[in-house]
Amino acid sequence: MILMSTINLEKELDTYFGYQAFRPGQREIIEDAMSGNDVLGVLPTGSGKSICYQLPAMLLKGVTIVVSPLISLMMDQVKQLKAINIKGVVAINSFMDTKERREIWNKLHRYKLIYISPELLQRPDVQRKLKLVGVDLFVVDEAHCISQWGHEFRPDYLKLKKIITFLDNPTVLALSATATTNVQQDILSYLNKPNMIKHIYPIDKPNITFNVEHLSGEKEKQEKIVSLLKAYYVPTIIYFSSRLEAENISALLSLKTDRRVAFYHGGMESQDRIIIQQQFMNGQLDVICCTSAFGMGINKKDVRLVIHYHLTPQLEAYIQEVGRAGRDNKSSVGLLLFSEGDIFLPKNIIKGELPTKNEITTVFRQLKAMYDQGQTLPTTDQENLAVFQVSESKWRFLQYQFEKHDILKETVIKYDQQLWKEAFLAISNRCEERLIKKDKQLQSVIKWIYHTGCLRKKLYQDFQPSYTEPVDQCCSNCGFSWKDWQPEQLTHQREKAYSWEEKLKKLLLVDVQ
Amino acid sequence: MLLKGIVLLCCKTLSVERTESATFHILTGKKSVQTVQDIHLYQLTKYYGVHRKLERTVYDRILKELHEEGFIIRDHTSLTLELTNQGEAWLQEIKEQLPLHYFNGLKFKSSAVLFLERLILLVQTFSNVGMNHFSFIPVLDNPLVENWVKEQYRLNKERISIYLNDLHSELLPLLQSIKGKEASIFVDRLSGHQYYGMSWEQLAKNYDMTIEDVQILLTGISHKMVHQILENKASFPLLYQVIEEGNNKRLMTESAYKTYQLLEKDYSIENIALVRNLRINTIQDHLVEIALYQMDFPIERYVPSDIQKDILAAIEKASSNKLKEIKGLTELDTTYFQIRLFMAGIDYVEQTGDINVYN
Ligand SMILES: Nc1ncnc2c1ncn2[C@@H]1O[C@H](COP(=O)(O)OP(=O)(O)OP(=O)(O)O)[C@@H](O)[C@H]1O
Ligand SMILES: [Mg+2]
Ligand SMILES: [Zn+2]
Repeated sequence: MILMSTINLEKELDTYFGYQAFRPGQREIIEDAMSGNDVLGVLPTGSGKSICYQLPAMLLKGVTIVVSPLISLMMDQVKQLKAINIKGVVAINSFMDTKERREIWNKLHRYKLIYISPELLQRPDVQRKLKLVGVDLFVVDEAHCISQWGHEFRPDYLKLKKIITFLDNPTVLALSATATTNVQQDILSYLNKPNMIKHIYPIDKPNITFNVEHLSGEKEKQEKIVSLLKAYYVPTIIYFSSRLEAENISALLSLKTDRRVAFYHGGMESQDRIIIQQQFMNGQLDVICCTSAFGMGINKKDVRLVIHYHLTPQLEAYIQEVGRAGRDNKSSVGLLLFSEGDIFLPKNIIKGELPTKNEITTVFRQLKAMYDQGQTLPTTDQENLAVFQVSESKWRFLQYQFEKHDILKETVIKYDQQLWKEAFLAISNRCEERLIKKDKQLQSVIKWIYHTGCLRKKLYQDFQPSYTEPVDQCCSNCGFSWKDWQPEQLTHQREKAYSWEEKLKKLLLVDVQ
Repeated sequence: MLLKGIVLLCCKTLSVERTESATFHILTGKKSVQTVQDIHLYQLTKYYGVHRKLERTVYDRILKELHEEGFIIRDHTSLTLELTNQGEAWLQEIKEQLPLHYFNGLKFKSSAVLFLERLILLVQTFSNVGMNHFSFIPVLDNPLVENWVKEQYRLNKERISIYLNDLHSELLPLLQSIKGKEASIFVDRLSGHQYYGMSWEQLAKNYDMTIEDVQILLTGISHKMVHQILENKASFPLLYQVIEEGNNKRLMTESAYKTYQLLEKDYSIENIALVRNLRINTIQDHLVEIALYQMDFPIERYVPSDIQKDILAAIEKASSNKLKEIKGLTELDTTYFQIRLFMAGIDYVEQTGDINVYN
């Protein structure tokens, strides 16, 4: 804990980050967290939630750890911090090889801010090491992941409670841009912090115009996008629910328009992901066709247009993704393209996320067989996926359930016939329940799409009672015309084609330029 | 076409004596006794590990295409392949156009990766700081490479533009010695000041090639570069550092490093032992250590090719990788030292723990 009266927070904000003033909510959250109070902060996308822990991390004596669901998000933040010359920051994830990780391990005490994936945080050795180093502030970013009501439910988040206790109860700061009252309640109870101070701010984005267009199918969607890209030379993100589709439409758009288009998804290797993302940030690309892997953490100021080629599985996910637009507070448009057949896509995706009854049975059998032969589970996720022949999200779910029902303790299998019977039933029911909930969430997206009243009002209604008047046009139901949307356009000059010799000179001979 | 050509070439060499997976294992650099034997037996060491990222599905797709084009016959029961006359003819026709001579997988598969990663980050970093631009997002997130580049920066920060000039004059002849298109691809992969290079996808599209071909071509180019640099260290002092610096020095024990320096001056093992006042056994231990890290370790000097064959045959017969068993199965006057050195040279020890060479 720190005596707040002795610190001039504005000055520190300026020293470390070069910002002159706090944005709404930041100071309040930081003051509480630094005084040792547990805090839940809900602030809109792009409002600067990261500062709420990055600044305390610099000022607190001990270590701040940040749990965050997306590796790319963590890496990105670390890079951006390093880029403004902030030291003592690191992201640890399970993709690092042992050599790299060991290097970081050995000097862990020297870091101030450590980003870590929830998976890695589960490891006892990691926990012991962190306990030794001493954690002052425990941050749960994208905290809605803790609740099955939130989009992107992550079972590993449910185990944070235990870890927090093990780490001698550091101050907890949970942050989200999309937490309904239900989700907020879940966060408090799953973290076992009923007395958390809530700082809930309106999350609506007055500079974003919401636009839903009902089209007959793929072809119309593609034509629509082509004509929009021809009319608006603005940084644009197009979201897809499948990698393949993102790739295909990206190819189509580079063929049919003169825009610089690329795709981005989780299946690409890390260097290429960084290259594409940075080309976009840097203005070498104007259009990104992507899956939800591109999103959280993408902090480009002047994205003007966010198109959804497919609907999202929850409204929260939509709010997150459309929140990539207009982070400079200038007028931007979110456009969702919908055709009736689209409903089945998320249905299938949802089904693919949870194990079927058959799969549960098979996994149980396999476990029993391994138990009978005195085997233990492999240590890595990859190996387990191969052994049990289920997808990653299904395995994460099952693993959590097994541990909860005392069937698994780390890699050791414990057998008790009666217990297993009960667990099997409980797990199957749990899946059923979650399917129903997910379906409900999908229904609310569909309802929103078919809603005839104000889309802005409807979108935010589960989150807050009211919203700020939009700065530009409100939504397609309140009356929207493309003609009246006149954002500042990029000037597009064709780049000169250089020979490789010239390019090499440009790269290396800095005094020649 | 490049990957296809290499696959066809490997299949041709292995013929029906190996299954269709053998080529896949060679290209991805599988560290199994079988694969390592194969590359020596069939003289395919050049292609060992030249495409470690290759996915099985892509490989299967290539086989399927080769089959549909009438270049190979697949035997689905024995899972073997055979070239048709047509395949033979196609291979002859394209072989000349392919830069097959660039590749030297066994020797350079690790060092060329390191070389390329370091070079990419080095160029990006120095190009940025050369423009007094200190905040940029590195395209690579490998802390080991990052640390190395930081070290270079620390050492050279007073002379950035000279350093960049030198780098330019060393890279230029290397790039001029390959085809224009190849040089262009290589340069397009690099990032610099307020500029990010191309992704695999973008390179493929831009040069009208498949992603796999771009990747394997870049691997080949870096093999060739590493080879040229090692051949002529004096002409490439800076790039030689990119390959060597920290690679040999830091991973070796202090003592082995001293032995290494003497070896570089052409001392014999006996003389090193004499000079350093150490036992010959100890120096031999050092050599094994050095062979692990020095990619152009002159293994033939200590293990002549007939002995190498002898060891390979013994490994094949042996049921384990225990030295004792392998030694017992050799037929010539092969020593423990030679077996260890040989196994170190072909990367065995890298295989974390499960093969214990020192048993
Ligand atoms: N006080 C401030 N003054 C000026 N700019 C700020 C301030 N605080 C944060 N920012 C900037 O606002 C941008 C968005 O911040 P950040 O990425 O933390 O948003 P976020 O709330 O985490 O959004 P998301 O929900 O999308 O993750 C960043 O570029 C950040 O540097
Ligand atoms: Mg954030
Ligand atoms: Zn409206």
